[in-house]
Amino acid sequence: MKRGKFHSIAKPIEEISLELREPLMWSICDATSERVTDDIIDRVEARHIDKQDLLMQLSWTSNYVLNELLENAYKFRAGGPIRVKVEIGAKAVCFFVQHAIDSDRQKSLLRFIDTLEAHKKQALYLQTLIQNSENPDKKTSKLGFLSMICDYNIVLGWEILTDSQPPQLITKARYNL
Amino acid sequence: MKTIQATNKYKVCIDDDGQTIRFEGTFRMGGVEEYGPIQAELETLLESGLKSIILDLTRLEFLNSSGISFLAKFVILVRKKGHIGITVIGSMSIPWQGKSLPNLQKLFPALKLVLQPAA
Repeated sequence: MKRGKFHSIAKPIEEISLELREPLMWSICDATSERVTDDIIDRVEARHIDKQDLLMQLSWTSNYVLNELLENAYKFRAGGPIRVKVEIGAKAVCFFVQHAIDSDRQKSLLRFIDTLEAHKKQALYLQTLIQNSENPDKKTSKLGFLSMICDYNIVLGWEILTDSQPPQLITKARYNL
Repeated sequence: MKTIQATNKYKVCIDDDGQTIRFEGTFRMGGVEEYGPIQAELETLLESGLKSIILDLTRLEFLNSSGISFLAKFVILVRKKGHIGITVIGSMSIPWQGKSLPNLQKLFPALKLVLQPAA
């Protein structure tokens, strides 16, 4: 099952893959997003050496997006490893984070995607910020996806692989250079 | 200067003027509730009779989405107080600030947002 407007790069020029295995700690989100971002910049820099602003924006965006995707994976995975893949194209970079997901989380995610698709994103972003402020007991901010879309122009997609046991969720994020 | 909370990754402190709060480093806490101790200190500050407050974020290199939620919550709290002015100082040298901080002004139009130009 696929949701979202994400579309992949037809012919990636480069690819980065890694698997994060148990035992996983929260600091893995920070460490991995910084390490992979450095790797992306090393690979992109050669083709865009004269575009320092593009490289700086890519660096900050990659760090933020990977950190948010990994934080979600860490919080909501149903055990097992987290797989990270990055595809680098001439005009875009795509991020993929895969992990096991249980049925409750699947339902909750699908409800959130329905909400996302039914509303104007910027209005929903501000509304979520206000709702968070009014509900101090809320454990999650639900802002990660919205901030990626509204602040970083990320195109998101989700794929649930139900053939796998347990089912796997792949969250996809595309950043156009 | 009084330090509210500090680790090897970040620091939050209040200047001697009692109204400027400085955030430095990278904030990647695990959830909204982990920002609770800082939130509690800031709320105490708001109860101290201040007329205006300044959030200096010019050295805040990274903030995750839970941190954005925390900042928004504080700004909305100041708005609800009704009598406290707030200025947020950021830096265009840190790209996330130019992207995310204007949202605070949408939540509270009277908030003064100062984005210092990139060096």
